[in-house]
Amino acid sequence: MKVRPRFVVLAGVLLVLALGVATSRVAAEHPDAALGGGDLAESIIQVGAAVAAAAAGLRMALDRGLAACGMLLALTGLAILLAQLPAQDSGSASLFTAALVGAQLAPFLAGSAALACPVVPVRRPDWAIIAVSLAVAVVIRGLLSAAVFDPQAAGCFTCPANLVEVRSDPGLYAALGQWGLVLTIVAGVGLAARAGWRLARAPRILRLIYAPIVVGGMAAALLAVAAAVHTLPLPTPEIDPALRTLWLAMCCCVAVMAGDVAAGRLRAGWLAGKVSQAVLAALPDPESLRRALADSIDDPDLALVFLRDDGTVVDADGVQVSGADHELAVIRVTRADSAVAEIRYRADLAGASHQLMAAVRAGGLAIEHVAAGARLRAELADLARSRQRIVELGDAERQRLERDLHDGAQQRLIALQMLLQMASSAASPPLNASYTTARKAVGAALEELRDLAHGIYPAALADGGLRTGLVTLAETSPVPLVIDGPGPGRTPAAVEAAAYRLVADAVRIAGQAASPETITVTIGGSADRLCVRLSAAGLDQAAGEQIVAGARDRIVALDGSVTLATTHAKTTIETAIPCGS
Amino acid sequence: MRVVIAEDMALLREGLTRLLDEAGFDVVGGAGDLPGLLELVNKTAPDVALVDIKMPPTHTDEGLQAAAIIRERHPDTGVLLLSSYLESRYASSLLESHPASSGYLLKERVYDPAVLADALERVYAGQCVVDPAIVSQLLSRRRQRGPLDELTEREREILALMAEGHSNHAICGQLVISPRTVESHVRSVFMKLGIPESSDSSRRVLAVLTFLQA
Repeated sequence: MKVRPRFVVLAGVLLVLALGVATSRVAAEHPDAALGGGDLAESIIQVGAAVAAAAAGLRMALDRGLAACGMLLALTGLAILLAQLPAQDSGSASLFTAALVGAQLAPFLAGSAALACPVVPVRRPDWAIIAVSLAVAVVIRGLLSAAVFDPQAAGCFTCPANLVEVRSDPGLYAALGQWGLVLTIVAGVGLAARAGWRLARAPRILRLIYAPIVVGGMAAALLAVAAAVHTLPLPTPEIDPALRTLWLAMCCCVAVMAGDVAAGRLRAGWLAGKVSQAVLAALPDPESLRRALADSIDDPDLALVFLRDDGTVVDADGVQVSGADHELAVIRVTRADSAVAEIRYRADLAGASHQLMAAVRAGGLAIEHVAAGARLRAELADLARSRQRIVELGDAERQRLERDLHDGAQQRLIALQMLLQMASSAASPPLNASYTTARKAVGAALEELRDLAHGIYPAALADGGLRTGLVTLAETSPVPLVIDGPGPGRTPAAVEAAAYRLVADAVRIAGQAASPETITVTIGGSADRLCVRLSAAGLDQAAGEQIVAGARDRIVALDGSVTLATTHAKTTIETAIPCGS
Repeated sequence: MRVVIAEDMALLREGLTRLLDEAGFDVVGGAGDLPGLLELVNKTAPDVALVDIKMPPTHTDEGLQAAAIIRERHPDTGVLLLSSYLESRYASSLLESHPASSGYLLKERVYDPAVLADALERVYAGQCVVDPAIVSQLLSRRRQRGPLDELTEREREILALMAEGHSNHAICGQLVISPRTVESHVRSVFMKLGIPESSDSSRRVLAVLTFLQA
């Protein structure tokens, strides 16, 4: 069963609140013995800081990447309450012992939370500093001190029993106390310095988002250092107003840390509102949507790409792009269990991902809209490519067929014709006549086969290119056909074939006209683009349209264009076909 | 007359050999591809090579390549190309690279020993021969006005016969006119086509090329 996150947070908060009320009541009875004091204002500061830290810490702990920082912050809340207990007169033995062991923990935990905050990736030295600091608080100042502390021997006759006491050794207790203070100074300065160094190196947006947590934690650790410095020269450690003020200030620092988490959620909500507004104002173009998402995490290079059903990734124009770089962090936007988009951004900004996530949630509709457009464009590009391939394959197939007919069937018929001729010259007259008839039939078949092969794909076009093909076409053209311009040389076969067919159609249609007139074809262009202009005086608008209609599909499939202009009974058809692919 | 045959289809090659043998030609060898033909010409130095235009290795224009190479290495060997394309482009390429003693004959005409023998004889005699079917296709084509329009009907007729490889003497016989008349027509053709003074045979080739490329 899935536990809803907000219940976890709520349960934790209620637990800490109940504990806080209990400790406040004890502290109120012995205000002088409690580090933080026991009046109403002091209790509100401490319990308030504890509850806020627990709530914020647990909420953070639910986010990936913030779990360690959040847990440490939540524990800080608990630790504040332990220290709120009066050193003596805590009522129960277990509370008294817990206070003995954990009273020093809060500022160390707060400092550790600052250090574990992912403004830059948390590395091994960071964990080492956290471990050493917590060990100083729990082991030296906590367990070891408690183990040799006898409340009765120390003169506290009203104190409950110390449950972890091993033996009474006031000398060792005092020595551990001194060492604990020195180590507290070292650990506190270490935590604060390292956390500050990390903050200084963080990306701008992460500095903005997490500064209160990191600076609050640093301040808490430094306040503990100040308290230790204050206590070190004293012959016997005891609670004085300075120490109490430092403690309450430390509680305020923790409250600031917790406040930042709430502020972060408000900020993310505000950003989400901004994105939703952009979405509502108009369905955005891909670039403004990308910019809005980029702003939310302060990564100008943030990329918004889209996933197609076959798993390929395309940009907003539908052009395929490569998979995500390992250096980048990725958020996938899914709809109905299938991923539609992917957001790629700088991995070192992952700590601010909740802001980006909020923006993504707010912009979901827009992202889907842009994704649909991108996928459609990719689909169209696929179709255009496959149409071009079909035309190219068709031409290649026709060329192959023409060669097969020429090199195969035609040669065999020529041989057959010769064999028939040789047989007829050796045969008797009646048989001779039959042979001659057969030979003539083969001759007719050869002629038809030649026309057929030529119609499938003119050899002159295949061997010599467009110019040679057209010059050869002119030999059999029913209208005078003049070929002008040197042309760009050889271009892809499909391009040459498309232009050739345009001219061949024009020649055929012009040949049906009552008074055939000269057709002039000018071949131009470059290696990238074949341009052909055909002008004919004898063709009217309708004939021009017929020619263009026949040629358009092929030319457009090759991403080319064809235009028709008719003036004073002169028709001009121009086509330009790109050769690159 | 010593002849070699280059044709990649063995059946046709053997048929041609038999046909030419029976017609009294001395077939001194056969080859199935371009390198084989060149080696054969080297070895036998024939009077005429009868060459299929498309042969291994590429099946494109090996015959034309062979004509150019033979012209350079064995200027005394004539080349008669066989092709199934009823197009002038191969004939003009041939005449450009091998201006005299060369011919272009449609392959489907070779069943007739008389036609083949006639073409071989004329190539051997130093003429250039273009298949009558191509000549008549060019004559009947529709084209814009050009130098050929300057010629009279009779002069065009004589130019076409020159393209088919007929000598002045043969033209006399065909048109039933006197040799002097033919000669004056031929001179007039050369003049109207702007063909400069030089030996008679090279002027004839230039006139035929003008006709093919008009």
